[in-house]
Amino acid sequence: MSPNTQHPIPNTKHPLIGRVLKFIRGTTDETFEGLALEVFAFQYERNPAYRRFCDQRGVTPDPIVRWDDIPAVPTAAFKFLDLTCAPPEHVFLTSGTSTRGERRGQHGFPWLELYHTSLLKNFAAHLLPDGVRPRMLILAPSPDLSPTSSLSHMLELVRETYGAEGSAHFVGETGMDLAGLIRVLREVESQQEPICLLGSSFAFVHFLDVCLQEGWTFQLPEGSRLMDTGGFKGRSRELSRDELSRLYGKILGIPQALCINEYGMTEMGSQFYDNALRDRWLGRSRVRFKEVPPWVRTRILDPTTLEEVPEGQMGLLIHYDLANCGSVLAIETEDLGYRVAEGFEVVGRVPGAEARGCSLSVEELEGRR
Amino acid sequence: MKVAAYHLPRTVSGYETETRSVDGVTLEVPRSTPALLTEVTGHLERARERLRKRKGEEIAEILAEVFRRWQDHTDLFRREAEAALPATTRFSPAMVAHGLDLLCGGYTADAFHELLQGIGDEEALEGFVHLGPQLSRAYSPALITHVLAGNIPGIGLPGIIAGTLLGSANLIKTASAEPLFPALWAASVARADPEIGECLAVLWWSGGRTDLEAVAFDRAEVVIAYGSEQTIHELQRRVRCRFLGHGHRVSFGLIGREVLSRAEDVADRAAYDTSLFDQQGCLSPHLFYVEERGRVGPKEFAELMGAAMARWARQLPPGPLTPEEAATVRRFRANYEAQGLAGKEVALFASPQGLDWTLIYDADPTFIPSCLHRTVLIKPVPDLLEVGRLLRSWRPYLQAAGVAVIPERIGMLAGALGHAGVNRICPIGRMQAPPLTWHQEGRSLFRDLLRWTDLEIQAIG
Repeated sequence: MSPNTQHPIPNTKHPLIGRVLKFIRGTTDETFEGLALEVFAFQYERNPAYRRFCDQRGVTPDPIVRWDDIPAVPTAAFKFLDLTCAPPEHVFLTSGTSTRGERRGQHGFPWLELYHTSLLKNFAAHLLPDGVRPRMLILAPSPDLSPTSSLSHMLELVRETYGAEGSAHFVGETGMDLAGLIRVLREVESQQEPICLLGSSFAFVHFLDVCLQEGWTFQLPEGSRLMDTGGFKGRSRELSRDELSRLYGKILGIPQALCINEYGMTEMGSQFYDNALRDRWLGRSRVRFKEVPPWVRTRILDPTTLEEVPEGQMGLLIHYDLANCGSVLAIETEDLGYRVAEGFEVVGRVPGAEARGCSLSVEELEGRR
Repeated sequence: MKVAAYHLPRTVSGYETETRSVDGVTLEVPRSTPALLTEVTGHLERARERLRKRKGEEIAEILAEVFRRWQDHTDLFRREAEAALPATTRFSPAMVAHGLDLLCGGYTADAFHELLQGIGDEEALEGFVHLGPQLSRAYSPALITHVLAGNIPGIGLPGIIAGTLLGSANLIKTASAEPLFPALWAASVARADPEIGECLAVLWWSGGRTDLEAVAFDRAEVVIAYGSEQTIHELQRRVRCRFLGHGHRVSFGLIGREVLSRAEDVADRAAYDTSLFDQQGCLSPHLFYVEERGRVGPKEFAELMGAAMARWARQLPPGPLTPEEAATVRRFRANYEAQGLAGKEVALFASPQGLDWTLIYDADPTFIPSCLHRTVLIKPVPDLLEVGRLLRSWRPYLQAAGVAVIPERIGMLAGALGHAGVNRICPIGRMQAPPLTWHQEGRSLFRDLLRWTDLEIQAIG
């Protein structure tokens, strides 16, 4: 992030931050809409890049009365603009390599407490609804190795807060510590306490592929669970969700309801989790979907018209996240998804549509050159 | 509506058909099997023995008449194409009608005659003739297999026409996105001249069916294929005969400062080239380099072209976008909008609602392909001759350059563009209407199809 001279407002905690924190904790009577509109006004005032964005769209806080009128910033903007309301305590970078001289996307958090509060509450609700404090085996690098990765930061915070003794990372400087991971998995087989495996989807695929090749399977303690996240990004073979679930069951013996997919992005302070484990604990039976926490709203819009799509139809996901109080509340993603029950399912990051005709498209090239 | 999206020699019978529906149009195609393809290729090879005895000029007359009838909007085939193509290609009905006129209007008797002259000595097809110090004879392929791709009606037609004029049989595998025009066209040829119709077969199967392609490729003497770089590479590995691959290509435009005295007209023609076929063609421009210090500056030109893009969007409306395509265009726009906010010299001119068209002025002259769907970049350059340097890393992909410059400058500019790898330099406004004689991909259509045998004088003894 560039020097903080752009942010004349010091990084002291504004009363609004406290109110948002209370809302996330569920200890206030305020409404999402009321807070969202105040957060928008706050961001319009303190986030110069966002103000320019809103002005260009001809939207100011004054006439806005509905939360869904708040202008959503495309995630692409994080590659070019410093979208923070105050000097950040920490800056996360999007993964992937930068192309054509663009930098990677940057998301600065002036008040990490917002991010942490949202993250821990939502994680516990969806991975640990039974109050279990499992040993956590993490298939991602630690923040020491990957200080700008929001995933590493997130998993480390979760480990510190909820992980039992023996929780550890299994991705090091030289890649995945497969031997170490296998050793621990064998060790816990004879124990009673459930464990929790966490990591990126492609790391899980690497691990599963080795197990398939060697014919290894595991009998993990009952109640063991798993959280995977992210796409494959060309770093492993691509597996469908069904195929992945089947392998989790076959190799790790973890039933589908305890395999939770997380959907998150560097540009957002809050994440989304499958409802399956939480529903099972609460004795509810619903189809699987990504649950939207009470301090977030998700709209699904037709990418051509930006109008709400009918139920079940694919559209662009737009999130309004109060945990993003320090940057921008409303985020227009590059992800397509559709509404399911009270939440949504995400289809994936737009890979770049294939050309219909015979012209080369920028997407084909990015894959090839 | 139900349409037969295939054409087979009349002598082929006993095949089953299946249907597939696209947006209210039901397409009927034979269930392709290796046995059917073996039968079809056998028929084609036999039928072509009659066709090869006919003169190219005579075949040309017949084909010209076929295309003339295609321009008659009341013609049965034409009406069927206009009714069904919007569903399969996802072009708007106005675009389909305009595209068919443009396509068929170019295939005249004169155009075929010019193409035939490219063979040089047509007598070489009938016997050994003196060519330099030796005697040479040219043989046309008995069978050419065409693998078409993409949604643009008429793609691959030059190769099919060249093959037909040479008296070769053509087996055409159509693309999922446009299985119809080749079938209707072949049927219209058969209507005009059954003997030529017997030498054409149009079938569809889903790409990658190696059992079918083994037959289609092994029986052919030449395979002409369209598709992405990846598809072309994969097909090439499986073809043992002569393989002519047409990968995806990129085109662009150049506008000299002098012609900016009539900037509105140039902007209109540039917008037309961009809008045609929703920019899906390999001849569709991705960006225009506009020279500085004209009567109108590059940024002002961008504004004019934006207005022209809007006019063409009304006249030839764009087809609907899939969610993936729409999201891709939105991302492209978002990238430049953010760059503008970050203080870069970038301006976004775009349809106020929806994603009908997007025009980006970007002061950075780096050559960048667009995400298509009527998304075009305008980039300033101090001198058009500098563009050669900017094209360097794009050489393998370059196709056409549309130019608008005064006549005095064309010689030097053409030299620089040709050197850079461009294979067609044409006026802006005509980018999507190449002549049949165009050296597509820098090659010569006829020469690539012919096989030569040389007889050295000494051997005659």
